[in-house]
Amino acid sequence: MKTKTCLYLAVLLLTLSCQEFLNIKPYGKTIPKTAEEFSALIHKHLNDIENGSDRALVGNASRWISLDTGCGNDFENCLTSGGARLPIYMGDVIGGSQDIYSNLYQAIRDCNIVLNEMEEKGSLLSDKLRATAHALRGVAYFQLLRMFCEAPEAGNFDQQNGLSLILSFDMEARTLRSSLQQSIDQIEDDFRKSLSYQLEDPVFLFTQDVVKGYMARLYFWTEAWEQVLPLAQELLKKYPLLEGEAYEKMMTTAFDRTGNQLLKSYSAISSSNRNDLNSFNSSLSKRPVSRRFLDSFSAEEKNNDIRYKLWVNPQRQAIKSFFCGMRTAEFKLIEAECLYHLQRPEAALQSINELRAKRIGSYTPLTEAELPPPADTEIIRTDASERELSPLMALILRERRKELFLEGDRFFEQKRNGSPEYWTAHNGLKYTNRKFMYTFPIPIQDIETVKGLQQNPGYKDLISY
Amino acid sequence: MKTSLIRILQGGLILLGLALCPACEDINEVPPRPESSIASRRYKLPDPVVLNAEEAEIIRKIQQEFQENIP
Repeated sequence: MKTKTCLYLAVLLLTLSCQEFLNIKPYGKTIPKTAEEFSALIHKHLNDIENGSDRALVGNASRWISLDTGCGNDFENCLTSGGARLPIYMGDVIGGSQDIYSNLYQAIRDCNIVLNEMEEKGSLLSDKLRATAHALRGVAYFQLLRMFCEAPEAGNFDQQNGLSLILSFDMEARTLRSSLQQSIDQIEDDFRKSLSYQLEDPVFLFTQDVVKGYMARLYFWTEAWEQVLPLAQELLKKYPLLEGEAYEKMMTTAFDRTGNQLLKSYSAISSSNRNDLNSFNSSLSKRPVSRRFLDSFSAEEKNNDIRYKLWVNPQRQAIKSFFCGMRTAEFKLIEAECLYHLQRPEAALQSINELRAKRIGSYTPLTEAELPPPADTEIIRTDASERELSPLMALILRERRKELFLEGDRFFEQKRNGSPEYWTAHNGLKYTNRKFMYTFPIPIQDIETVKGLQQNPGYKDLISY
Repeated sequence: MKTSLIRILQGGLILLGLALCPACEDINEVPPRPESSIASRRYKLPDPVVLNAEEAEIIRKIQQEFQENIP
């Protein structure tokens, strides 16, 4: 009887001893506890940006080639020479967008871990990490917003689909999509919180000015003209436009952050990776720049505009150094467009003239009467407010197209301004870029895992290959 | 005394067993595996079509202009 009692007691004890039996033991790894240990999560993403391997947060040459040759009309598909493995139309880029989605949510996960699990507070390092984590999470959601949500329709943000907002580390979370307005509010909140730490340390890349730049981009994308204007003007005042030799030096410096560049990929690239970057130029040379793009420069500008000389060679091959990041000219273009939408056309024209004066030799400012009509070959026919393109708005968009050539901007400009449908040809076949293709699909895996998660319009039938 | 202790222990073990059984209710906590690999599936997009005569002519002119003007 005593034996039986002992046996029962032993069984009972065994059932109680398994509490932590199945916990994963992190052999050879560290569960972060101090700010320094948490910093590894953030520096991983910062290093990726600096060495040019980040495709999603800031972007790199591989991503720009994909977007600019496959999703914009600055290059001529039907002139592509043999051996080039470049996308033909948006359909070729949509498949790769699934990795971008995944990469961005991985960055969000790491930021969530830092923001929610790091207990250290008040130290210099912990403040820098929190500032950067908020900034990175905001940037990640902003990039997701532009790619995986439809172009914002003023007054309809509460009805439009936003993103799955995940703000804490939870492997079991199955989050549905928020409204576009809620997503915008979250991004803005992250940027504001980042700014509250007043980060100035360039090691963390996302300093106050960079975050202000991203905030300006968010307001601009969401047509918050009154909010973006002071931000753009503040940055322009601090980082004035360059011209002449200074501009040429900045735009031909491939690796170091120079001039009025606030943020730049490849700024700490190793010598071996420099060859990889050069190979992208070689790949791009197989597809000539389109006549449509070249004709956005007038005959006079083809001689006088420094950008024409720096961007394209006589064989119509793009020779511009890849730039992935943020520089001041973008804010000048934002300023001009904001002024236009705020019903201040004279100030908008003055702003765009100021930019042109920095780029075109012996420049005479354009007057309203001299503005040419929108070019027939321009596929953008309406502005962000869905109004027919006026000569002034066409000029602003044309300058943006020229200035930000090969900087991953054209696709988003097309999306923001009416998402025009157009076709392109390759090997005797016609590929049509449809309006719905400007918004990439939520990955199949997420749709199948999260019950009730809404897919974007146009993506219904699956095929196996 | 011993008998009652054994009965208490037996009763306790039975209750423990009963408490453990309902815990097995949701044995499929892992999401169901998709029927085919996600990596080999994609959304169907509009197929390219053969250029018609008018479109082919547009492309021919672009190619001709390029050949004539590029050194």
